[in-house]
Amino acid sequence: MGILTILIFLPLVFGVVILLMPKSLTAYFKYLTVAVSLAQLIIASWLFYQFKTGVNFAGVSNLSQYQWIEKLDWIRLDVGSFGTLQIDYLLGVDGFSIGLVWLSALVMLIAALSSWEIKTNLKGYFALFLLLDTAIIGVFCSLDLFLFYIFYELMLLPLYFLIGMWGGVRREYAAIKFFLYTLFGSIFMLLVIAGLYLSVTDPTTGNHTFNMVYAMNPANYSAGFILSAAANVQILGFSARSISFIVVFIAFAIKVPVFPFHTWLPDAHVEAPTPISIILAGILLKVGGYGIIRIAYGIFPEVAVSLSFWMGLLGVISIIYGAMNALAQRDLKRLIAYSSVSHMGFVLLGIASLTAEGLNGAMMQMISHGFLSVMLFFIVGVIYNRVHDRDIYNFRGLANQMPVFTGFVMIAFFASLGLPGFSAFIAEAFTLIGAFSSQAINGLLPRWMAMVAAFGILLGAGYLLWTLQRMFFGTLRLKKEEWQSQLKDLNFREILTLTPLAVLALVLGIMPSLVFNVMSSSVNQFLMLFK
Amino acid sequence: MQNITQSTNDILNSIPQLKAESTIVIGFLLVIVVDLFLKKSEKLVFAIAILSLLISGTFLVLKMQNMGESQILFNAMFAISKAGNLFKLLVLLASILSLLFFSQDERLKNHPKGINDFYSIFLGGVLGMFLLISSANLLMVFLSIEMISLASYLMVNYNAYQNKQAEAGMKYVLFGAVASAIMLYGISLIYGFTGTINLYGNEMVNGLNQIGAAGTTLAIVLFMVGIGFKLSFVPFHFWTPDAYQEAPTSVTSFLTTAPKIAVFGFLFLILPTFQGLNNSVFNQLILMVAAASMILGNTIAIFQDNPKRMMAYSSIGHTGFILMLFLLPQMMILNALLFYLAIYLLMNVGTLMSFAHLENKFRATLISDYKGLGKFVQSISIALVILMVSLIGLPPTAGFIAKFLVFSSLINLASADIWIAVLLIIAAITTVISLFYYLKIPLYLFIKKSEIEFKEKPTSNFLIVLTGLIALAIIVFGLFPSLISF
Repeated sequence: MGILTILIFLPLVFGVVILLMPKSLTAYFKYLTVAVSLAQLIIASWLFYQFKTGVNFAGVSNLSQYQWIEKLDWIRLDVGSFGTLQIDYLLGVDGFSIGLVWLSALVMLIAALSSWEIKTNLKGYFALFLLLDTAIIGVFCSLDLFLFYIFYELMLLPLYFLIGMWGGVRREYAAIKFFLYTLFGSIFMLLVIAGLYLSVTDPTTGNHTFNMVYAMNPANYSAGFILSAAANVQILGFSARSISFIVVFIAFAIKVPVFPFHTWLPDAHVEAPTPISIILAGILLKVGGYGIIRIAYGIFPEVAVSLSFWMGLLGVISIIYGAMNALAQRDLKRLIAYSSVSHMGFVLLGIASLTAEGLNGAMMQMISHGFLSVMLFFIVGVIYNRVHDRDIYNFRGLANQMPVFTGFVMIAFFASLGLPGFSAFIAEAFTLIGAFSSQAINGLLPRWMAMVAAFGILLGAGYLLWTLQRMFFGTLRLKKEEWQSQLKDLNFREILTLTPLAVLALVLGIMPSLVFNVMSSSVNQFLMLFK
Repeated sequence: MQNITQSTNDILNSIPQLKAESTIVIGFLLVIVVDLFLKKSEKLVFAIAILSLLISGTFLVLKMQNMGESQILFNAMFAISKAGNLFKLLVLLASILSLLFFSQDERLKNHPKGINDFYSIFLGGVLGMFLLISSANLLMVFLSIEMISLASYLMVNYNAYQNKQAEAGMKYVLFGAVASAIMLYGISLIYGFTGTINLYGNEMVNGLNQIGAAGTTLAIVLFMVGIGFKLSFVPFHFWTPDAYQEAPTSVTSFLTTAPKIAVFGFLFLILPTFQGLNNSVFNQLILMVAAASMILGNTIAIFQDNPKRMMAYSSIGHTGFILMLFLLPQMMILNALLFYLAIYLLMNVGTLMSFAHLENKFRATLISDYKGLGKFVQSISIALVILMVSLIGLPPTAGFIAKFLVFSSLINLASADIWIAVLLIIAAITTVISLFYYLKIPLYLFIKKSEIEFKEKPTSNFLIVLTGLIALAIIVFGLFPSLISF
């Protein structure tokens, strides 16, 4: 059993343990979950530390260069004239996934720590939580499309229940909307996966295969099958590969979420309990970005190049549209949800530029937004748990009431708006450099996109600083008298949660090479696909 | 004279090949005799029924091991083949699960004459299904379809004393009679056009090819009406919701599975005949009814509050989904078809068993009655969630693998034929739509909070155990589908 298998299935095992534990031990469920997440983070950190970098470990389209590869024959199903259905249990990480694996482990720990607010049906909650944990890590580690899809869909059901059972007032609506949007994208992606399976053969065994690394190499496509580039099959007058790219892109764009597929996000975020919001913003959105890079762009590079302008345009629209919407919100959680749309727009813009700077920036933005959004949602959770209200206009002058808390809020806000010295600055700057230089390097994105996107940063500063001013500065004025006693400053557990996040934002802002080192060779290798 | 000897010999040689069928006939007779002469014989009758099914299954398995090509028996009335035996085994599995279910059904047990008659009718139905799968002759097809229909009418109407139940039963009978008549008309046309009623061999195909498009189209469409009635695809689905809703739950579970498997098996075996025609009417027909069934079944199911009625529409949708496979040549679809049917049968039986348990225990007959029940009957609620997820077709359940097999069989044709591409898109969209109603059950069980107190009735845990096992099997087959290999 390999280290990645342990990393993936550790939570599942303990999820089952929690299911089997008697009701009398309910109080210990959360400690057990935190312990499991902590163990996971330690393993992930060890992996990150041991991760070998350099040209020989770039990964991407070269299976032997992935690290901690595990390969088992999993499903061999005879399907008549199509030969054998060959599905492998294939795990491995490269520069694109290792950072996200580590981020997931971190976010899950934070989410476990913020699960203290959950009071009902703890057994169900923590079992589902750990199931979700397994699915998330699995998505980032699997290199077989079928396995990837299984983990990808496995995330939906726990989330449906976690939002639906422990969510806010309109939780049923939010949960089903989230489920529907994602399934709508992914069921069509399943058709593409079936097509890829038929078109791609394993160069060593000659069987059809779901291996996504082999699918990146045009030589592995057998001529005449639907998704082979050479065959140029047409469906309804469009090339099958173009349609497939668009289908896969939409599936992941819904997750990211990219305008105009973003409407599930505010609802899901607002209704979900804090830990689930944290997971949604911290990891789930990154699954979308990761999928766009690895599957949509990696497997259909020639289509991606031809549609890059539109991808960039969607990215820019998301940046501006998300920021504008954030400006208009009264609900603090909704504001942060829309800010996620805006920040994730940078990821898409960076990917679309297809430059080294842009892609590095996009990956950095995913990681940076990962823990910054966690911090922001945790901050909302702190207020909401105390007074069960999130309306910005119901609070004023909180700085006097909760000085430590305000300190963390300021760090989170300034880091999010891209103040130099924090990680988001590096990420956004790199993305913009990539987008700006794209016209000169490969002529994919016009310069105005970078300029408009830069305007999005300005808007970001606008809504964050304005919120800071409205809620935290000035004299203390609250909607109800009794809130004053309820709004206590942070307790030890909350400080413990927020401190590492704040430190990370600062460390990655000063030493971005920690992340860049790991992924730069993978990014370069990835760009070779588009040559 | 020589002819007579030859056919007599053929018959004599054919008889030993029918061990599986004969076992069921013997079981059927034994049940009637025992019921007539022994009092309080319910347990014995149940044992006879289940034994005859098991023994019949053993014969099928033994037969399969040394079977080469398919054989034509009884002067081309009857055909046995390996694929046919596999379908029969599935029918048997469905029947055994249903039989266990019947024995738990309170409505059946409360019949003044007891449940023994019911068992004999049931065995007759199973025999009809066996005969249908093996039919090599149009008359044989008609007879066996009638046999299944008669058994089904009686089973649906068993203990139908309330108006609504009687109405549903009447609808079923009347609609079935009309469908049979139309089918018989189609058969007579085919005979008139070709001079043969042998399904195997080239005579029928050649004859039909000489007739011209209009004649063949008419004959095949009329013939398919009878098949459509049994499969309940659109537009011959009208009886399904009423009959499924009003029949005892165990009967619904039997009707949604066993006869469908038999008819699909029959359709599979004669597929070369239909696809050998110059006229592509069969393919067009399948395209249309598959699309219509998926759309109609899945959309109308959203608006149902009765879980059994919802499952009726869901089964119409699944029928449409399975029918897509029949656009492909016979040799390409056997594994996908069998896998889908096997999983579908497990899911359906499991789901209806859970409904029955909730009904027995809490008198919860509507989905809205399930509000907040999840906490009280956790095991069955969790099993229901797994089954619903599998019915939608999401991993890691077997329903997902089944769906994927169908998709992957069809995807390469999508570029060759625009209509198949459209059909696949419809299949994908209706899958998303199906989310609405399948998830309604977990929604009510777990997410909605109940306002009333529940009155629990003491019930046996037998159905819980069975459902739990089925849900477990769904997950195991989802993770390791290679366990089901044909």
